Amino acid sequence: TYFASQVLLMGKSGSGKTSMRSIIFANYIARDTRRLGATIDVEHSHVRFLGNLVLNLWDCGGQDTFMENYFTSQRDNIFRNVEVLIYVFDVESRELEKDMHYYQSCLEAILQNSPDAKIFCLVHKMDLVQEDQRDLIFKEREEDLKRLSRPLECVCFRTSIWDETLYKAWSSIVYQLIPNVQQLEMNLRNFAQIIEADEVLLFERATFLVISHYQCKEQRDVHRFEKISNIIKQFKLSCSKLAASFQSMEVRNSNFAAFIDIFTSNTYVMVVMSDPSIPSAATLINIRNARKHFEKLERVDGPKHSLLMR
Amino acid sequence: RPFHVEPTNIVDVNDDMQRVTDEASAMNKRIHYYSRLTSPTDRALIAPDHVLPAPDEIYVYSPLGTAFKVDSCTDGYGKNSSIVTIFMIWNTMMGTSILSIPWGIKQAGFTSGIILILLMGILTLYCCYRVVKSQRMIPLLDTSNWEFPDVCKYYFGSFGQWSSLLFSMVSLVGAMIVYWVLMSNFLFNTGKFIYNFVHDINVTDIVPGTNGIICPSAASGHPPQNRSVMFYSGNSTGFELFEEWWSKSNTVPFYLIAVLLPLLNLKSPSFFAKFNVLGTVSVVYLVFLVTVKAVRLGIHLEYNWFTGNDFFVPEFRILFPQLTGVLTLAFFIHNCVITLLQNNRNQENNVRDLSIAYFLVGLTYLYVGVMIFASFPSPPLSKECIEQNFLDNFPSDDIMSFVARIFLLFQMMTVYPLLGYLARVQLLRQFFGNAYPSIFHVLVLNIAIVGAGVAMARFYPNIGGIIRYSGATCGLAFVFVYPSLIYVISLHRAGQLTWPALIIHILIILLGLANLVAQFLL
Repeated sequence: TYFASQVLLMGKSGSGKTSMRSIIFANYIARDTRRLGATIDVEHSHVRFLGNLVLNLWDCGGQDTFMENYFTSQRDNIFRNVEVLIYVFDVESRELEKDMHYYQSCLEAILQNSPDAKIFCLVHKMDLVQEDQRDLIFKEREEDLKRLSRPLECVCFRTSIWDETLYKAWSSIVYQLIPNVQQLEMNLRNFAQIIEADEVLLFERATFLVISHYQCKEQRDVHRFEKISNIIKQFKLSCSKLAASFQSMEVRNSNFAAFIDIFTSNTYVMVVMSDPSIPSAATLINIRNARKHFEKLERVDGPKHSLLMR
Repeated sequence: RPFHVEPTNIVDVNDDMQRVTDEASAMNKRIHYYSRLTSPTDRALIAPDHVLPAPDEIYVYSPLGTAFKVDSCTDGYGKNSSIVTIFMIWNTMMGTSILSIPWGIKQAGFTSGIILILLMGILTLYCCYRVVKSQRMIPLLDTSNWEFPDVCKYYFGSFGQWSSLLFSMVSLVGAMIVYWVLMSNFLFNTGKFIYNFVHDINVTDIVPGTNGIICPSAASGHPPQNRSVMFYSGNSTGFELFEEWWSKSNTVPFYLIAVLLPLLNLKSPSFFAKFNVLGTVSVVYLVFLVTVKAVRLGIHLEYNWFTGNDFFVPEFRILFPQLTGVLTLAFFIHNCVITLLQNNRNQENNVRDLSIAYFLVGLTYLYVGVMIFASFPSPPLSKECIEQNFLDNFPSDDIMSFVARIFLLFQMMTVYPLLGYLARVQLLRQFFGNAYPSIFHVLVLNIAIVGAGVAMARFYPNIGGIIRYSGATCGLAFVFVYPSLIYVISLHRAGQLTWPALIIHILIILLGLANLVAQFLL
């Protein structure tokens, strides 16, 4: 049997994983909010990103004994070929001890089955904490988690779906999964300077998380990445209702021209030109030529999770 | 000052400046996107209250009544406690009419003056209550953004809209004319005081006067003169030249043009709204001044019921409509009361707070009016001497009134551009659809308004007269007719009209009409 490399999204039942997945991957949630049972992702989710990474959700530590047993007996299968473990903690949880206990058992399983996995901990639902206490509480949790995770290393983020922290956390995670990201950035900068663009962004294809970007002057809106991502994901949802798939977009006015297009097999590119007199065709040709160059880059270092390399 | 605009919140509606913060815009996109991820019945990704940004209310109020709310909130009204609301209403209502109340009491007679102040206060309060209720009684429509002129438009259609505009303009332009006359007066007196002080001229007015009060009209029998007849010791030729170049009705009104006309042309007078506090300070100082003077002068009252004598006026006089005219404008707030009450934290206290505010306003007017009237030194001087602007009864070297005039001068200079802005916004938006169509339109309008002010200051500087005419006119519409008519119509539509209600409100309308007619007849 074939086991694709996976990203595990784990956490207690009700910690917000399904909402998170839905938001990041633009998945339609068609379910009742008061779930009567835990999420049992028996069939692998069809969410793929960054090549052939598969995202799998598991509820960890539910009350359901059936879940417990299933979890224990299937442990080796669940934790095999894990590239990334993302563990979600609900900051409002009243059972910290238990949460840590389940977290540690997951870590044990990881150590046994996929010791090279990267570990990320998300302290989620931070909007429920008072603003002046957020840093304090997060620092506490982070210390505890780092301590408990030894010998493995974990990176912690504080997140909430109601501000930009979720998007930033996932962008950082994805950023760390790209094998040759520095080289990518350098090439992106060269590309941008050659075509005289104001800003060039590289998005991950499925999630529109920003992998890298180059800007040649200060931009006013710091939230623009998340906004663009949300806008395009919303547009993709609309397109899918018509059984159409989003491929590319050009936006123009008297002040600028922006192009969003498929780039490599894993990425989308967005090019912002502040000189609207440059004809679209010119920029599109430039993008097309750059595409070939970047594809080569991606293949050379070979994402180790690509099917072709096995 | 019949109009009041929230201090922090005057912005130019044609400005392209960013109204929404980046965070709010990002949140907006987030909420849009999340709402697409679930079915409409699923409440999974609905934004909880604590993440939504505080409703940033940018609110532009125009008395014709478009109230712009950039981020409207249908519930959770305002953050103002009752005290603040009461204070705001008091502050808005307290206008320059306070200067004419003693004269009004004199015109009506002492006893009838007091009774009339109380009665008019109650009547206008009731009509104000009707105005506030009228917004709520409209079925099926969301009227949370409506001001009273919107309600008029709803009931009376286009006629309602245009007539509201007309009457609004009457009160606004009337106020601006009164301001111009008063500002010329105050500027003149201030300049004269400073000149006399600097050149060390000892001035004794040759008009009947005693103990710090003078009777300017007694000398020539008609309204305060341009030139004062006085003895002066000092440099005479310089003084004559000064008198020629600094004359209350001939030159000073024109000097004001240089200062105020440019200010009127500004697109957004929000800067001036910061000086709101000067109004309160002026009124408080006036009360203080009145108290001090009254203590110094003592009480001089004599009760002659229907006939007067040389020094005293009868208790009941036929000229009492002049007082009611002044009081209509003095108690006028009907075109912006809905707005002011909207920000009250506890909406159920609206009626109570409004009544308290009216009570306090009435008390202030009553106090000032009665004190000045009672302490006016009547054995040597006649009560008829009380001027339409009671500050004119103080000689030009009186320090306390000099200070009062300076306060009032500055305060009026800061409110004048605001009034001009409101008039401009209403008029130009109604006719041209745009509050600032071009500098040419705006300049023409401003020159017209300023010209009217200058002309009045030159030929008819009787603020009591101007106040009572404009008060009775716009009061007819906004205080008496519209609220009553709207109440009767809404009752009729709901099938709840009773004979007593109909008769009472028709009586109110007739009273308003009589008020207006009497101004011209008496």
